[in-house]
Amino acid sequence: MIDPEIIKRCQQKDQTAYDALFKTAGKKALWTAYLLTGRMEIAEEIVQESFFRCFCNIKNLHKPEMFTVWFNRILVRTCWYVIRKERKTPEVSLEDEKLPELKDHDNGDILEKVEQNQVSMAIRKTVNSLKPALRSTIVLFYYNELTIREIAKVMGCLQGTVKSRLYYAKKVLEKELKRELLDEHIHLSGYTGYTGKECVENE
Amino acid sequence: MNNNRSLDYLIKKALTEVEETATLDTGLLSEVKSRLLKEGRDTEIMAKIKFFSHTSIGRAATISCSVIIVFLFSFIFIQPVRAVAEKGIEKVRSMIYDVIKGEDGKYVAVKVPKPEPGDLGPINYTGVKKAVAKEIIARIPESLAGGFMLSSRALGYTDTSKGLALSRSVPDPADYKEHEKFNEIYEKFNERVSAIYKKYNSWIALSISHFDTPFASNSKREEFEGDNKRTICLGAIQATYAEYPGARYPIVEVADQGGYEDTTKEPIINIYHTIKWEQNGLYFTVFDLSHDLSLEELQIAATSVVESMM
Repeated sequence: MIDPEIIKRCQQKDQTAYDALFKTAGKKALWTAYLLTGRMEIAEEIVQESFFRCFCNIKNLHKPEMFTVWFNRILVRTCWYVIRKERKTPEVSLEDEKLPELKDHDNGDILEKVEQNQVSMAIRKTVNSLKPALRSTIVLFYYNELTIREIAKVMGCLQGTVKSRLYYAKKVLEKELKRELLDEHIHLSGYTGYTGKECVENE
Repeated sequence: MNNNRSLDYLIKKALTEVEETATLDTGLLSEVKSRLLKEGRDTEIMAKIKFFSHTSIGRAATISCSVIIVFLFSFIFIQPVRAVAEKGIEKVRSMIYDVIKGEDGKYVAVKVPKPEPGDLGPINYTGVKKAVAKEIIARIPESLAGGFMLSSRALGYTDTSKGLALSRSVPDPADYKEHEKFNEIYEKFNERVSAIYKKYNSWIALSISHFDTPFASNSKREEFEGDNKRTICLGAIQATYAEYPGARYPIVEVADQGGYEDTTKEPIINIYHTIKWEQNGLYFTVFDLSHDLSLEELQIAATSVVESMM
């Protein structure tokens, strides 16, 4: 939650508030853009463009407490625009990602950590292969921890649409995960199958 | 339900666990601010252009800024104004108004023969005429204390023998995309770097060079050394605060070319203030372009320049 006072100061073009807002929301925005596009250099451009649009238009934000939704709307739409412009499906390959460094005292857990890391990479790869609307829904729900209602506002759709996208995206994820990973990896992580129930934890 | 929660957990974990590997480049914010300034500057330029065909109370401030900028810095966006002014005046005018100091010590506008090019004679200066290092230009602050934000930068040179001062506006030297453009201008214009800062309707100009000219050479005939001089302190540095006259001539609109100052019409004379100091072999001057700042406000802004250049 961004301090509404910072937003109010930004509306008065207070440069120190710009710094504070960027410091508070910048990294989350960068990672969101990265998850949505799969490429860090593009993510940085998107963050820059989003903050530029944000500072240009922040005077029009009447409810500072709605900043997160308002800003994510700018961010996600900028991502969609860039994705369309690039005309590429963003990709995050397992090979592209570095495995986290394992310290000596972690030796006992190395196998487990590697397995878990592979699961995570497979999920990220699958998320990034989803269509932009599904990918955005997943990222906003799980990473940004927005509620269904907030995601609906960000994406400009009905809450029911968000729910169905979440459901469908998770089905795709489950299917792809099963195909990508060996069964033992799944079992090692404690996952044995998706039941298909609704996903409304953030609500 | 457990499997559902497990998948939720795995997705959340996958999307967040390597977040810390991402580093937020603070240069991104600088770029954003630079774009915001440029956006603001473009809006201001449009406002200046519009102003020529409008009459309003607000135009007074714009005129005074334009006039002072023309005389002191010859910013690129005012250049057409100047060029047209020279052509227009040469064709039809032979007498113009100039500002001199009267016998009673007050500044007055008097009608004088229009000086021919070269009549102005050399400009007196102290110091050395040489290029200001790029490192110095890069250190020009983005803002001054008191809430003044950088609006534009310019590089210039002064032909002291002919009394000519020319300059070009330049992009941020730190902007890698504009670096070539900056270098190109720097090749020819490198003796003086100036910057305009803005807060609401108040403007401050900063000028840095290795040589120093009189307080204001905006008169066609006189070099005002500055009146009511006062020695003030900017931290540990001693500086001189002084006033000088600034002439605001009526602007004549020229279709598609902006306009020009009509020096054949009597100008309005305002009193402007300046702070000058020497630091690390460079001469610094801060001008109160909007003539609405107190000594304290100008001093605070100048002190922040001193600190950023230490």
